[in-house]
Amino acid sequence: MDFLQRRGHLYKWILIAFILFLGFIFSALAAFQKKIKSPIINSEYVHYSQGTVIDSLYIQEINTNLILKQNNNTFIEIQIQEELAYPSLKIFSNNNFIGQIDTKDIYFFDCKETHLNDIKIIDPIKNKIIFTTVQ
Amino acid sequence: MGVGYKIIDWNSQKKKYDFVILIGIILYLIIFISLHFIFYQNITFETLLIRSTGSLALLMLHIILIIGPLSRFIPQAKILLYNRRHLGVSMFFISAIHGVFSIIQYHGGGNKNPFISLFTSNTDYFSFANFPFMVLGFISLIILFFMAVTSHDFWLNKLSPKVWKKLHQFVYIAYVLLIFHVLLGTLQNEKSILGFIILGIGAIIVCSFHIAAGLKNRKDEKLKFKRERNDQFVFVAKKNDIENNKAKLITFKGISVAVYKKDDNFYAVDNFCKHQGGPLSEGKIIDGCITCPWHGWQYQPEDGKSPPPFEEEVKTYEIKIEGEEVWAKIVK
Repeated sequence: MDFLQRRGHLYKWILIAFILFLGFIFSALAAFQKKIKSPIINSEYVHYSQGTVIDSLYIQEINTNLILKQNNNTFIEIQIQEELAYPSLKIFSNNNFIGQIDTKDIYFFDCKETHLNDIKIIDPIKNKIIFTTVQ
Repeated sequence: MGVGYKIIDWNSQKKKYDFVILIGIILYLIIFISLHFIFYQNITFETLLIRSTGSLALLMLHIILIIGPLSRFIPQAKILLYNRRHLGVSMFFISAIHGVFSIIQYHGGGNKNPFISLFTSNTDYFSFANFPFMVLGFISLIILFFMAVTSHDFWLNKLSPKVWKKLHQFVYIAYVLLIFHVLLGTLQNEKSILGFIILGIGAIIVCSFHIAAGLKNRKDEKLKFKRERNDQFVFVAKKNDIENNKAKLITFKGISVAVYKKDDNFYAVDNFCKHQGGPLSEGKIIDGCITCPWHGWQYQPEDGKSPPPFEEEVKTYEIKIEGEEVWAKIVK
């Protein structure tokens, strides 16, 4: 192992420490900003075996996995494990409001009238679509 | 000092080491799972598995990274260094369980290939709060995979020590990626700052140890040798200043040499072990051979060669004794 390689160990770890320091600062700021503006949701996905899966998506905003399934009835299924910190996330199908999620429960939204063509989940605080099946 | 592919040469030390690793893993999982059942009654099995293995793998990586510099300060810690690769491979298996179940849990339910979903479900690379942190975890898992599969000495010889060492230094990149994986992932949704604090303490400890070891290296290599002669001999020490079967390190014009004393005879060899560059000056003479403190590789002090049937060799330097003084001729 040559002299320079040995010396480089110190500089390498100073650089690593600096990068990690910046990472901690920025991610802490991001998490703090997220907390004051968004609901605290720790939701877990429950996977069901029946039905044909249409799409599977991990939604980071609400920390959940969403699976759209089509059976005889088309439905969306979301499980929320903690109380939302603010009013509900609204669920739309083909631009028709079909329900909302606002408490600790498992939700089934039956879309058989509208079919699973266009599902949106709206964050009413940010007024932002956080999930949609429309590509 | 393997020259061909052999299964692990189990000895009592390795068995004890692996037993301790196994007990540690089991204890951690029991404590982690118990605490989660107390504080998160609704947690699912899959989430518990993902969290427990992820946190365990990260903890193991911190321990692995601390062992190296720790052994520079506490000689007794060298025993942890000898079979550190066992810890590394175990850590890879734990992190692989975490990775596989995470991919299945979050990307395996749809009609997209899970690996495509991993890279396409979230492409918000310009956001800290919504960064696709899973990709960071995946890349670090790939790095750890290559390190695990090349951890055997067979690959050290096949790839050459230099290439092998460079490959295994990718662990530093994997470490940074994993810290960011946690910072930008699960910690973004945690209610308390406890996670940040714990992770921060871990990172500080690892970085501090490595920086301290780097500073110690610099100090050792900056030793000034005030006495040098025209015949290229430099003063090493007085005969009694070197303990029997131990060495004194001297560095002269960038060349580091370990000067050993064995039964009132003195021998000078290159300081860096041919295996992984371990500091021979910090070893000792065992069974008549200079023994590297990192992994036990040996060299005969008289000629620098490893005892048969091994073929490794370190450079030797001429020694001259003048009265009570030991001098070494250090030339490239």
